[in-house]
Amino acid sequence: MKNHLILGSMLLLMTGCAGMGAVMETAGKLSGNKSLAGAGSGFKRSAEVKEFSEEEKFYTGRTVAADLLTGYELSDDLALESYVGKIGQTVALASGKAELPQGWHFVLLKNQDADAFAAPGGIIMVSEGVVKLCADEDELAGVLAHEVSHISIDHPMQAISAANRNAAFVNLAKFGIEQATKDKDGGGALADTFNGVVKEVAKGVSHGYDRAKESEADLEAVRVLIDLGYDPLGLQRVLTKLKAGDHSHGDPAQRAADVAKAAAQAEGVVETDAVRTARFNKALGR
Amino acid sequence: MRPMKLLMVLCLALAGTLHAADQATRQFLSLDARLLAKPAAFAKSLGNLKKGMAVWAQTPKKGYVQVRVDLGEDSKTGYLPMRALQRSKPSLMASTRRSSDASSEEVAAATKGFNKQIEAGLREKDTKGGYVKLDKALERSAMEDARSSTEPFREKGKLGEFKEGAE
Repeated sequence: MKNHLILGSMLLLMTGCAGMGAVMETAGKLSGNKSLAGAGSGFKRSAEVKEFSEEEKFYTGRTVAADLLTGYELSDDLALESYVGKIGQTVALASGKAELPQGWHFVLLKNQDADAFAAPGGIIMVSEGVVKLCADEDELAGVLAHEVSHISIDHPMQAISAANRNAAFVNLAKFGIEQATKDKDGGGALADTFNGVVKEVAKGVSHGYDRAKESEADLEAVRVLIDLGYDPLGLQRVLTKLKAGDHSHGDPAQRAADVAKAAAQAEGVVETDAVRTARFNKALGR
Repeated sequence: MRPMKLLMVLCLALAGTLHAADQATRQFLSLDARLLAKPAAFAKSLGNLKKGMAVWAQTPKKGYVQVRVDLGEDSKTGYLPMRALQRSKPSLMASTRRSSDASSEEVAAATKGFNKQIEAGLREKDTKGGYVKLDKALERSAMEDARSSTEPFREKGKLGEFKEGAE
């Protein structure tokens, strides 16, 4: 009997060991899945109702982008836009959201300031200025990987306040689409909520995010760049060229240092490739 | 050595060996994902896995996790991105729905209406031409089958499955 007890304990130990192991980073940690506060009105929602669908994000992004584009001109350089698009699509395929229902879009803007925007649903807009700021393809890939990471981590939609999210879901799910969009102005409660949502998202897209989110996007970009075979230090080099300016988004010098540190700790890092640099120079007519 | 002590030593040694060889933990897919033949974004797909499926996951390495998927009597081994896994089972509409909840159809319908109807209203009020520019921008930046379309670009640039050292 005693022997059986000892043997049984040892078997328990063995199965217990087999069940221990890797500490995983949960997907929810980066996906922006946040629970909502109570919806009110006695309306109960399932977990999925709390989240925006990809299609919903895309249309929110369309509205944000349309509003943003009223202040910018599209680039006339279609060849350069096509080149930017190829880098962007390649980066997006290695991101946490490789495939989006409406696909990723990379739009080149005419302005010469160093601007880059990431609207929900995968609409990335970069200026000719930011492309020209880059010295090679790996630096441009760094910029695009950072913007793509904002979308794959869901930063724009995280900017929506709980109040607006609650209102949107309650209006949609409780009243249904017919009533929610019907009133004398043709907009209804849903239109008001949507306008509130768009304003909040647009603020993050056009003015950038807090330093924690910018840092998070930088580190995710480093992972994507290494995975693809781009030099992650390309992102670091671009960051050192940015003006210190508004530190609420993180000091560019500090972010550059953090990127360099992450790259140094990673395995499989490659250097900038001559073929990539040559096609970059060709695309820019250098 | 007494037989019982010998047995204890053998069992402990076996436990250590098993532990070192198989540190698999039960994890769940947090999203739909492709099971990859290698730990790389552009590796060959072994099949599609659905959100909520259980897998046995090894220790993550370079952002990827080797997993085993049990499919009845058969099983498949491949790789998933780390972020596609989580420890707890994600809630699914069918398993969590209560009678007072909105159905998936209701939510889907609401989502569609939320988007297109609202945008139609906004387009009518768009006097600055933002939507016209957007339509033009999205039309010219659309890329069908981005994976295939960018393959020559990746090959020339030694990217993805063509990067140096990729198997």
